[in-house]
Amino acid sequence: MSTATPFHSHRRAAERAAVLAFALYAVCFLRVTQLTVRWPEIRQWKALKPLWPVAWLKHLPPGLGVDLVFVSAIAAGLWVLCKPLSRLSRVVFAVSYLQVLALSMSLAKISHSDHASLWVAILLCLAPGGSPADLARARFRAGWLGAFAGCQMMVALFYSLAGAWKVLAFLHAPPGWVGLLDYGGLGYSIAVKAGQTGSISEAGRWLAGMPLLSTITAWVVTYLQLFSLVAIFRPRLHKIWGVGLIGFHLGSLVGMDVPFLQTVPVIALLWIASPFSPEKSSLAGDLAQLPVLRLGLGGLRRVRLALGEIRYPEKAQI
Amino acid sequence: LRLPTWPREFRPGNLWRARHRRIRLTLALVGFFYLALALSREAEIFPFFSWRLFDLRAPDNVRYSLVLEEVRGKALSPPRNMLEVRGPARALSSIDSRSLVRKLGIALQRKDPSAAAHRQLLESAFLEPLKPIRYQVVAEKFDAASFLASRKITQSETLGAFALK
Repeated sequence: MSTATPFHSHRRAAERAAVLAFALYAVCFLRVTQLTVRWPEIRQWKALKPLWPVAWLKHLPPGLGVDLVFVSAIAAGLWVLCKPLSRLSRVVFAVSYLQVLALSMSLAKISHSDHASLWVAILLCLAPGGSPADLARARFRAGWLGAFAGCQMMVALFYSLAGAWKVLAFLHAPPGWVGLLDYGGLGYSIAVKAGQTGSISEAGRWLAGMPLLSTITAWVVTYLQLFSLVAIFRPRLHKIWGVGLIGFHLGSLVGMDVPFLQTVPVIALLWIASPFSPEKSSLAGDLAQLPVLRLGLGGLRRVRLALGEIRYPEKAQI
Repeated sequence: LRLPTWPREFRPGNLWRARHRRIRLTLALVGFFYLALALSREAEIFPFFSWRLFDLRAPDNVRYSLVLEEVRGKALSPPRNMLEVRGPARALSSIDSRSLVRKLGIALQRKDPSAAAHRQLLESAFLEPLKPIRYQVVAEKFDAASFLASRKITQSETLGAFALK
């Protein structure tokens, strides 16, 4: 079995990372344009308690600060789309994107579906600035691949944290409380959501009525989330994990009306289109890399070696 | 005569810079991890988050909502919950509106002075297009285990009644 190495083709991977960065900025800019629809509405908010990135709005006349935030986000978005390799344009966009998101969340609810794209925009600032000709330089390429890997790791960390909390809740739930991993826990969670929002989808009602299926679903989702940080270091799993995480988000949208739609294209670009995943691979070989399963297969191989069922590979004669 | 030399990307200086980059990245991720763990759901500081989502559900569930008695000068008989209304008041079912009402309800329950600011924000963002409007802020308890079948609210407490002319 051939081993996939992250830098199987340094130059091609770096070029791909730069193109993917452009696509990621396009996703961020799409979010800015979506928020622009709310521009007139946000201007009308009185007694606004701005989040810290836009705390300076309190010192400006009402409406002027909101206009400044939106205009700068649009201008910076267009600039970074024209010059994604310029580090200055990336830094300016990251700051203005942080501002426009903070402004839109200053009313009441912090939307967690924007965190992935925001942190990607922040971490891409670590990539070196230059021009397409600089991709011939190994150091420039290493910088871009490092920054891209950082984005992947950060988003993987989000999912691993979410999975870790669910496992902790399962192990240490206070009496009477229901964890997501408990039998029927997902169904209970769907019912609580329905009670809070006053509505439930047909798919959600169906899943809540099937405790065994919903429990298996909760465990599979938690496995995906918990081991995301492990999977990111196994390039053969990037595509599988990306498909799994997008399936999870679409499922939670249909079943629980939890929209993480801004995260879906980010996952597609970071995981499915990952520049580190090998170009040629087999599904069986990829699945053998699954966390826990690989550990189990490795242990089994050691036992078979010890029992003499299989032989150690012969050392090359020098 | 050409002396053997390091390929450019493996020269010690470049390797050191690459190692530096890796150290910076690792430190940033570890720092984020600790910050995320240190912040609870209540003390969230954007854009840091603990990612504690849907992990545990309490046995007693409370929702905060508005009961509308009059909308655009038209009395509603019987008064309707904001989650059930259609038409122009439908925006009250949005996540931002629900979140604001929850903050207002908790502040009223605790007799916290921040309630006035929450109410002003709610009225300017969502109730202004519906005025003149009369509404109550209520805390409603429901049993999640039986809610899907019965949709029954087990207990309702009025926290305040307000009007916007």
